[in-house]
Amino acid sequence: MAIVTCEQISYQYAKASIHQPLALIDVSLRLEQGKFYAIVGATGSGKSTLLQHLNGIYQPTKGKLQVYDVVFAAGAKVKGLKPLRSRVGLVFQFPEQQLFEETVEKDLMFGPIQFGADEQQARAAAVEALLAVGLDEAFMARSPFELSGGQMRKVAIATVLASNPELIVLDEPTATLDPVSRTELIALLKRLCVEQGRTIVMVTHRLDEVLAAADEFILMQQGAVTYTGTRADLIRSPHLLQAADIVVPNEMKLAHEISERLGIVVDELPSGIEGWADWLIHNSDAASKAVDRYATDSSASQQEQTDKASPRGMTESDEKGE
Amino acid sequence: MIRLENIHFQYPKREALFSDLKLHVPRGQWVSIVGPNGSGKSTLVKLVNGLLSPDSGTIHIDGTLLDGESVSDIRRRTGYLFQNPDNQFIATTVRDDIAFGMENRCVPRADMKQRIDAIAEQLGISEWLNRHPASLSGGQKQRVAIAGLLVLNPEIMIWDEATSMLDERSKQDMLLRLRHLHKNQGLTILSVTHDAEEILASDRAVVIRNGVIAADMSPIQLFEDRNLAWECRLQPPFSLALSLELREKGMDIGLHHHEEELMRALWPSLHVNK
Repeated sequence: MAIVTCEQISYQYAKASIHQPLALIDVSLRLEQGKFYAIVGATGSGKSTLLQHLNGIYQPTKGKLQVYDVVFAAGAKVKGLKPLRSRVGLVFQFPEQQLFEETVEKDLMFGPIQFGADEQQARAAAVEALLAVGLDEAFMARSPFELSGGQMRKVAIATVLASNPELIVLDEPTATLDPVSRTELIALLKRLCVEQGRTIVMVTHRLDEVLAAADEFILMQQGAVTYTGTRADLIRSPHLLQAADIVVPNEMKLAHEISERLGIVVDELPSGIEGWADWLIHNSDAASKAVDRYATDSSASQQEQTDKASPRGMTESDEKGE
Repeated sequence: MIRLENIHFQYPKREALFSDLKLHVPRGQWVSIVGPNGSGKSTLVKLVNGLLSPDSGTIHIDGTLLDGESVSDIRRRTGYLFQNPDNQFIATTVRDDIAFGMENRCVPRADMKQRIDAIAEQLGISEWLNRHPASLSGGQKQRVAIAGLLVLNPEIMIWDEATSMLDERSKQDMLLRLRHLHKNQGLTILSVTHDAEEILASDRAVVIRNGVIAADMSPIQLFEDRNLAWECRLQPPFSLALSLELREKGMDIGLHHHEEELMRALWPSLHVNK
């Protein structure tokens, strides 16, 4: 079921001079319930602007946008968006800057109360949201400002989750996080999507971090959407990434090259480190030979140990042995 | 070049952070400072720059003892950049801000314009020279801050998460520039970073944990020790992570952190097993 439909929407900032290009140009998209979307683009490509259309902060200056049952048509300002905003949770860039209460609990309860929950319901929602981002209840009483950067980011995302949105949109949620926190955050979003059926729309300029997690990729360049589709299709078209000034992830380069050299369709290739390792071992004669050799020759000498560091060295010694 | 001996340091009303810390960085070496959050990494680089003073112990920069008298002279030769660039802008335009450091160092006016234009061109910030620093995004600010530092040709660079807000493309460009300066001009670099590519480009990784140097190793050794890397909140880049995983599972093709090398190592043995 489509929950968001953009029909050729364009957007121009109110204060923009007439010479300035449109922030969004003729964007058409359909987002389905329960999928993980990654919007990828360089700085200034319009990805944040598009994101903020999803809960009506910006409304199109041209075209038509429907989010759930709310229709935004150019020229007609829609008001009374509270019901929509309880369904669409928007996580801004550096969301921890919006934490303001003295305890995590109060910050988490703020949203639900705004949307009409009583104190008890709000507290229950707060606890649930906190657990969902992987923090335990002990955090409720703490001040958000004494937490580490990664923890603050998680709490800030929990404040949006507490209102129980069906669609969660996030603007560069991993920016400035350390690499481990980044991985943990993406895993969390994937869980919310797979286990709870929520729709995730995440903006990033780092394709590598979402390559394994996202179901669909939306590529943006200078206000326009230049690609929408799956990972496999994206791997087949690295030129689109180059045009959009996105760094091609090494995983994609590997997939692309293996597909070309071995004549395997990209769809049959694995993803993620473990997936790739297993696949490569399965599809390599060196691995099976190495296993045979160590199995038959338990007194493998130190020299052979050194040999195995180089694949060419290993092939040669194998040939001599035979 | 940088020599810390018997450093003791304690923030007021907190437990001692460093007791008897010792670190030598020879001229021209590129050192990555890594460690868990709150382990003392930033404190260490602030001590080297004289922003903080040790309770006891000595810091020598290029043979000169760092103290109240020498600190301004040492700072002149040292380029220091920290995580949040907002705190380091002074002027109302990017151009004036870059000029500010040179004015302090008495660079002749005639040279200044030329040097600013050249560095702006190299770092791709020419378009922003007349803008107010506050109107720039986080990543743009970091690029401007880096330009303001590089234009001064420092002998030592001390970075504290100075590239954390850059997009991938700018990060790659910056790394290339850093490599060039390190290789051709013998720049000494001390950098607190979580960026795996940057760590792998450096000569040495120093792991700070609870105020002590818990490990002092080559960058590749750091990533080989998966638990230690995880504890430092680091993750190896894809190619290195894959070669580590392959080795662990019995297929040792060597450790490669460049994708091309990984490919070359893989090809000889690869075929499709149905």
